[in-house]
Amino acid sequence: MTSLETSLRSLRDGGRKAFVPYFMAGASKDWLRHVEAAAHAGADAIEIGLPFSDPMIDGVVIQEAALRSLERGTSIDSVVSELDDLEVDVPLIAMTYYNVVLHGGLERSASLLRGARVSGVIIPDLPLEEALEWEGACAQHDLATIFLVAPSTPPTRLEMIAQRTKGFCYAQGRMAVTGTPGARSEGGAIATAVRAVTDVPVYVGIGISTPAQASDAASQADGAIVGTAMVELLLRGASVGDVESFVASFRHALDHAPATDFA
Amino acid sequence: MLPAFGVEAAGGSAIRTGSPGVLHGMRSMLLQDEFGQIEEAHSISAGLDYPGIGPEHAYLAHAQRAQYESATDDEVIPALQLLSELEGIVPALETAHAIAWLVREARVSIAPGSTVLVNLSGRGDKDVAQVREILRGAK
Repeated sequence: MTSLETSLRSLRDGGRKAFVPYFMAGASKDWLRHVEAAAHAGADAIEIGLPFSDPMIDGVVIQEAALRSLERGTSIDSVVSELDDLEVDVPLIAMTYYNVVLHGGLERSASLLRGARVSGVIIPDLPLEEALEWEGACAQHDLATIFLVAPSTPPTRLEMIAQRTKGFCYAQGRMAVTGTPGARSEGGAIATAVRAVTDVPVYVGIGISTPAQASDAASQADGAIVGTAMVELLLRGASVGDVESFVASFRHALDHAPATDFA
Repeated sequence: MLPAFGVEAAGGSAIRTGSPGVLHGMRSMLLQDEFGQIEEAHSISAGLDYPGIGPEHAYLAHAQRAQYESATDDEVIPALQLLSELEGIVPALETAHAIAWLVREARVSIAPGSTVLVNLSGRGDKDVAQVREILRGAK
């Protein structure tokens, strides 16, 4: 089992609902301080976006952050070198697109990321059928390859994905790009479907922007991921203190969420 | 085996100037920088204004079954007009790249008397308003 999964399972088994905020690496010069503030305020893991020019699953807010980051010259190598200065002890999970790691070399990218204490990677544009080589490179470096299931995923495929994912299973709460306002999250229902076929932790992301939505998702899932709402705050120039209170509000909601219904 | 040619937009010639990568669910030739970030293509035709090319073409180029050339925006409009006037067929701006290449290469790399089969891949009625604007602007 990957060390990410061991750590996330122990979190779950201890009865804690995980909160995972997302940060775009390199979007501003003090992004590492924001990550530290989030960890300090009770985030259980941090998702770090490695910017890509064509971020297919992301809406305008994260696109904007990615562009700012690319304009600042961000690359895998620059992020890995910056992460040397990061002082947090929660797991780091990278989120990027396949061409970034492919171009950097699968083996080299996996090794660089693990060397920077990243313990899991989410690549939303990499389908299972094409993932073997990447999974192999990650396995050699104890890097968990995290796959997504969506509201549209048929049951047989959901089962395949749930069995292949490592670290946790990412349950996409909505058929939309990140940051789309709208209907209620379907993440809870998917989380329940994933639970029925695997014991791996299930986190809901996409479509969660408020503590109440996080708490709602966590009644069925093991954790909640918040990307756009966090990034939007930072694009507007939020301070370290703003990040702390943002994270604390989610922490509070999740700590007071109703117990998971395993029935 | 008959020689085969493909004509890309000069501002988006992924085969001639790109490198292998994965985008939008396909592995093909892409316009990208040294970090795998996708670069912008520029073409008068919307269908070719794309930083990659269909993987079938990348394969045909790789297998050396087809040779890829390019045509500029400036060559494309007269090519569209020429085919429209000669044959009464209005080609799409994308397709007009092939005509532009043919006009350029006739009597150069294509010997007089040769038979050339051109695949008119799309029709230009969708492009006439844009072409009219361009021709008005040129006056």
